[in-house]
Amino acid sequence: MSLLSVDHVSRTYHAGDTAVAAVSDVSLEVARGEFVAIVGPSGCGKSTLLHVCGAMERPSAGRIWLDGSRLDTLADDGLTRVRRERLGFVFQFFNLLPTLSLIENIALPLLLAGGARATSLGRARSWAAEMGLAHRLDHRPTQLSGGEMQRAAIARAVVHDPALVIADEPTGNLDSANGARILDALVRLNRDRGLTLLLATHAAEVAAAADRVVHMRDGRIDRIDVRRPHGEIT
Amino acid sequence: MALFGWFILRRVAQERMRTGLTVAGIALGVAVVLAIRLANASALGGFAAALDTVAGKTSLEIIGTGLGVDEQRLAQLTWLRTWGDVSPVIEGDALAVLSPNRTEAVRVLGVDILRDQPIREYRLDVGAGARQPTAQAFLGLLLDPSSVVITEVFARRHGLVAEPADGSEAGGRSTLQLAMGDVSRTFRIRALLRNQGPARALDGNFVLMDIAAAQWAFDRLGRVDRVDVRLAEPSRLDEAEKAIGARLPRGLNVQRPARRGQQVEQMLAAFQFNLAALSYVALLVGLFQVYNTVATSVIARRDEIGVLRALGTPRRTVLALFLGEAAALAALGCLAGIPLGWGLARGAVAFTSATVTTLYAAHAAGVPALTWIDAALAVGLGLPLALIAAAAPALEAARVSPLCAVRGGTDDTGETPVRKRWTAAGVACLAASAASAQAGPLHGLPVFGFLSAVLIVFGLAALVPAALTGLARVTGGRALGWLGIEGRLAHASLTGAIRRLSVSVAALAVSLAMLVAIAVMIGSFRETVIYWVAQTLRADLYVATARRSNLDAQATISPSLEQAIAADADVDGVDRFRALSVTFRDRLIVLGSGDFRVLLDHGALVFKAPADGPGALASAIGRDAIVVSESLSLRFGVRVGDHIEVPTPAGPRPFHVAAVYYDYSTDRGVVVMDRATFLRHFGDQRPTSLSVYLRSGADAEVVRARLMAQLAPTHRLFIHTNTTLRAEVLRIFDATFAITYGLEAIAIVVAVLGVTGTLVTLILERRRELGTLRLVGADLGQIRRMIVIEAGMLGAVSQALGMAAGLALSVVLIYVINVQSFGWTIQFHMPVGFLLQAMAVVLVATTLAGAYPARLAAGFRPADEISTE
Amino acid sequence: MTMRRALVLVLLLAASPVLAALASDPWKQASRDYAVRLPADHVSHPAYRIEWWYYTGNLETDRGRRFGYQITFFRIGIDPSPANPSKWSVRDLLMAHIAVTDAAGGRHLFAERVSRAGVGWAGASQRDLHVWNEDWEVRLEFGRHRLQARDPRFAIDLVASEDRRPVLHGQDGFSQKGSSVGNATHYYSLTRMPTEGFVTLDGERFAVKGDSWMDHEFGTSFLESNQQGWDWFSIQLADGADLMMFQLRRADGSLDPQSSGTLVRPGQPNRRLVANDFALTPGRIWTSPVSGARYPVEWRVSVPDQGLDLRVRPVVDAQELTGARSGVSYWEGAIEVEGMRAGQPLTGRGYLEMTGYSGRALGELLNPPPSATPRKAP
Repeated sequence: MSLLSVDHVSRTYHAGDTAVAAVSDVSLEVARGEFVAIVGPSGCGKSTLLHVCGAMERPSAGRIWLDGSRLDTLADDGLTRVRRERLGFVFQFFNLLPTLSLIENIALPLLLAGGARATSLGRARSWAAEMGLAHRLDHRPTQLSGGEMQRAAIARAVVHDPALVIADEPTGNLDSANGARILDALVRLNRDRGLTLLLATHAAEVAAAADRVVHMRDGRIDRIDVRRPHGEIT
Repeated sequence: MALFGWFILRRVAQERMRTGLTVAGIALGVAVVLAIRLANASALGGFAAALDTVAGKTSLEIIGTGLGVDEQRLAQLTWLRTWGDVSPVIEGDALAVLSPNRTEAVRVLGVDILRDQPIREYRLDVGAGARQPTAQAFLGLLLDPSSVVITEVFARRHGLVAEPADGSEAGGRSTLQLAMGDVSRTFRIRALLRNQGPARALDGNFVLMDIAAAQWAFDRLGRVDRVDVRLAEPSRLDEAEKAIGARLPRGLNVQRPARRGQQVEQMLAAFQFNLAALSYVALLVGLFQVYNTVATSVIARRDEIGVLRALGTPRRTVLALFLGEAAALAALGCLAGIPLGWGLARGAVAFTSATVTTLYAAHAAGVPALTWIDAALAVGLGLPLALIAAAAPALEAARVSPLCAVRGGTDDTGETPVRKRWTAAGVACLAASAASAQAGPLHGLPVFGFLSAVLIVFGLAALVPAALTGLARVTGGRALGWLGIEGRLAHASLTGAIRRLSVSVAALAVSLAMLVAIAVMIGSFRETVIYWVAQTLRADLYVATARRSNLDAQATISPSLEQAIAADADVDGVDRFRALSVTFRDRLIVLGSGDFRVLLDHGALVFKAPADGPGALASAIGRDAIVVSESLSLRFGVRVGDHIEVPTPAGPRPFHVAAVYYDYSTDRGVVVMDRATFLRHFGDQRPTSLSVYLRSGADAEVVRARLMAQLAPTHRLFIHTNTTLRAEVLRIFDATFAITYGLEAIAIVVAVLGVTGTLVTLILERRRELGTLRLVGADLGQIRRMIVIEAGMLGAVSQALGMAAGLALSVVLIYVINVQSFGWTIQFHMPVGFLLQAMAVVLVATTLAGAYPARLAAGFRPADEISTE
Repeated sequence: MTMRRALVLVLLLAASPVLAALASDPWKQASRDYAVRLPADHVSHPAYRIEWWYYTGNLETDRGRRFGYQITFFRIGIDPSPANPSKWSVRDLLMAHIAVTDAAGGRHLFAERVSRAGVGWAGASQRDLHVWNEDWEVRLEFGRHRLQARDPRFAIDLVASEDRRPVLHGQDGFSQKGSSVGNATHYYSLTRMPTEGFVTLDGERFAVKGDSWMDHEFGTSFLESNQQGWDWFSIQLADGADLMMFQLRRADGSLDPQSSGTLVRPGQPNRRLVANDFALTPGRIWTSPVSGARYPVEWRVSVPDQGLDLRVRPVVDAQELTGARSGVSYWEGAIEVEGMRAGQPLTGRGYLEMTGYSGRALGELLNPPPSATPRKAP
């Protein structure tokens, strides 16, 4: 059974009188532990597909299952709960809260879910150490480099053991050295910890690291390259 | 200009909430200032207008001491005629009894209608409509002591008509019930006055009588209130005033009619000055709002300013843009504030006129028409002050480097040195405040006291950033753990925005400080008055006439009333109190007489000096000695043992000051002499009130009810028991200060609006952060809670700062401003209950102020805020 | 109605029997039994409703500049015992008129006061000759009449001596004015009083000399309801004779038979003139621009049995008094007299008073019917 199952999903935006289909009739299966990259030109619908898969918004049509539960029928509360418990996010612009310290940023999903402060911060601390940020725990995001911020964002994305991590251009705002380091961190999480990763990118070297590469154009899946067949694909 | 259009106006138009709040803030501030100005003008304007219209063409008036001019002395004044037309006048207030439950105050002018025309213009309409004027009507007016002439306006308002002279049936009611003192009589309306000359005074509440009739009706046989003189050669006014003054016998004085207006103005000056000063607090808070708005606008738009600068916009254009924003907001605010102010003024007049009438026995009129001057003042005050308020952030905008556009906005750079400078300024303000509090009054007004208060306010405002930073550090750890992650997030986001928040917090703290200060001041005053009332009011019953102006010398008790009360079986003794308004060192003070023996027996005075007050009082009996109120002592620098010149009908006479006593009934200053002494100098005068002592065992309520049942049908009077009079004193007290609370409440509303506005701005700027929060799992409830906690924290912090500054302010109010304005010693007293209530209300209000921003924040959809492409 | 208009009515009403009827006549009627005696009767007679002291005269400076003057005090009883104990209660209305005629300037200046006694700012003494209205007064000073009055524009300060014996008009001073009983006054004159003093006009003070004529008259009612007004002459002739005469005009234009006069000749008994003894013939009409009244300012006066035939001309046409306060309009002015006595040319000077030429007929006002038809005010 797939971890994520996208079944004939469309997402239409209304801009004035005209309806723009950002995603049209897309179907996609992501297996547990799989690393799937979505590539395509700007405006092809990558981000929209990620938003729909990431429980940020509901599709206009079609069905989505995450780990066996329907997402497309959930109300806002349900979506929030799914995001909080089952999903992790990494973005191009890091999206850390500037007023919180690094450790607090990482622990945020646990704290919002009602976790005890001590245990939450404990877990965050060990993840920060794993991401090489042990010496930066009490710094504010503005005091960190882009690479450090993105590593903190990755730590935040995984601190609560999500079923799926969604990453939108995670290396897009970094120099190549830092970008490589981030990619390496993500790949290691995928290989060593079995983290399921759905990632949108422009960068060929990032796509090259994926198990499968989904090519999108004009809101549709153009083709899917399978780089490394995943054992659990059915 | 085009740049201003798209860069500023579009944004002002787009951010309706923020714009609306700012405009509302300025509008309220301007409105309050305007309202108080109009209300003050109405109190004086009503008096001045009535004075002017009633004075007519009077150039000079001859006045006596408190009791008017004795007719015997008048007979010797025929030489006045060589200067021009001379007209003796009886002027008094009466109650027109329109129905058993409805009365209206009217001004009664009694003149010699044969000789008064050169001084005042009258046009009479006799009989119904177009009836031929007849000699009988005029003779009736001249000869029948129950004749009155009322104004057309008054007649129309109450459906009254003039009595037809030929004895035919009147087309309506042609009689008018007038109560003068405690006696109510029916008068015949002989004619109507057209709406010109004195008839225009007081909205038509004007009654004309012949002087003989007025003298009898007011029980002032043997004297007139003054003599109006119209000079044949008005250009020789100065010469005439000097020459007449030199020739008048001792005890009579000549003055210009405007002098009475000036004296009333002086009498009200302190009261009005205090109101005006308070009204400016609301404006100040509104201006904080302008600063706040422009400052956030600049901070939020650094990138755009950078782009403008990069594209070659000069600094001064950027400066002009943001000053323009302030001006636009202020203009809108003023525009809205002017009509609002006029509306508020009606409410304020209702409040203040009661006070003015109760405490100063002066008349307030309706709200004066809004003039261009008022509008110009509102704009002339609002606009420049708004520009000054916006100057600092606009200058900061002008300093933004073009690099900002390239680098992206950086926040809160160079905060530390700025904060240090503010802190230093704050400390300096407080030091200056302490120094200013030591200075004496200026022209009888506590100018330095208010300067001291203003410096405390500015000091507080300047210290807010430092206080917030310190507070954030102290509370950063576990202190707010009980509020959970939302509390932590709220604290974190507020801490990150201290610089922006400082202004809102300062505004709210200033308002709260004023509230606390005024609450403490009034609370202290109230406690003091309660104590004083308990000490002073010792009689069982108090009898006064129906016109409730306790110190108005005009309303006297008739002999029949006095005899009826003295004759009651349960009455043990009656003390007759007489009060007069006299001019002492160019100010109107109150001269009273009471039975010192009775006062001694009942311990009804609380002495400030000397140590043995009762002994001093006892020694004053039988001599030309007086006791003076504390306010008189402070205002005129009069001390025990001094000899001061007290005006008497025979001219000023030296009196020994035996003691100073506490008095909170009036700030005009009171001189009291023993009744025997008074009789010796002033002759036997009708009392203005009676204190009645009952036989032991008599029930005051029962006696009161019995006397009322016996006397009310024939007299218009009030009888208070000791208990009800105490309640009445406190009721008047509370009514007096109601407007103070009203003003403060408005200032707080403005400040709470400011908090809302600030939160809205913060939220708009934090869209991405809020989106992130939503994304990583914050549900809507958590977002809302966070924002509401932020609002509550702002409220709490402002509260704490306001409380501290408020206590400091209250010390200045009680020990400096109050003493210099009114000359009252007030015992410091914390109205703990009220303060706790107020704090709770403000905390709830600010928390509620977070409700709208919270809803706004919850409305963001995470996907929209995160999208980067 | 303005106060001043009302006042006219009061004054006229006061002079009429209407008020007397209202107040069940508390006033004393003039009576044949009362003989006027002087100087005792110079004083005020408050028991009677109406009383006046009337001084007129013709004066000249050393250089021949000619002036006429008038100073008059009226007392009109209103209510002899007011209920109101106030001193300001109106017992009497006290009115005073002063006027100066400046022949050279062709001007006639006048002023008026209407007062109540009040605290004694106006009054008439019952002890000696002293009547006053604030700072206007007439009093007997060392046996001479001192007349003082000033207005912002003009002033009079004169001393007049009682040179001739007083003239008691009618019968011992009882002068019948109407046909009904009681419509009469007690009336005497000092017909030629050598006078000197000062007249001030617009700040310029003139020392003057001349002759005055004083009338003092008191009574309670004297006009009949049909009487329109009167024409009154006082003439001092160069041959030493003084002549007083008046005629009462009726509304229908006829003359009342009670018109009368007195001729005073030095060294001879006074001659009483009745209506048939003299003829007053009006001549040139002057119309007042103020009141609109048409006054015959020139007259022919003849007393046939004395051989007197005189022509009367005014010194100035405009000598009308239109009281600003009382609203009373009448003509009272200095006159020049020229004519013949038994064929001999004769000149003289004097004063002429004409009333009832303006406004409503006096009689109608004096006796309004109880339900008078409403009339539009002018």
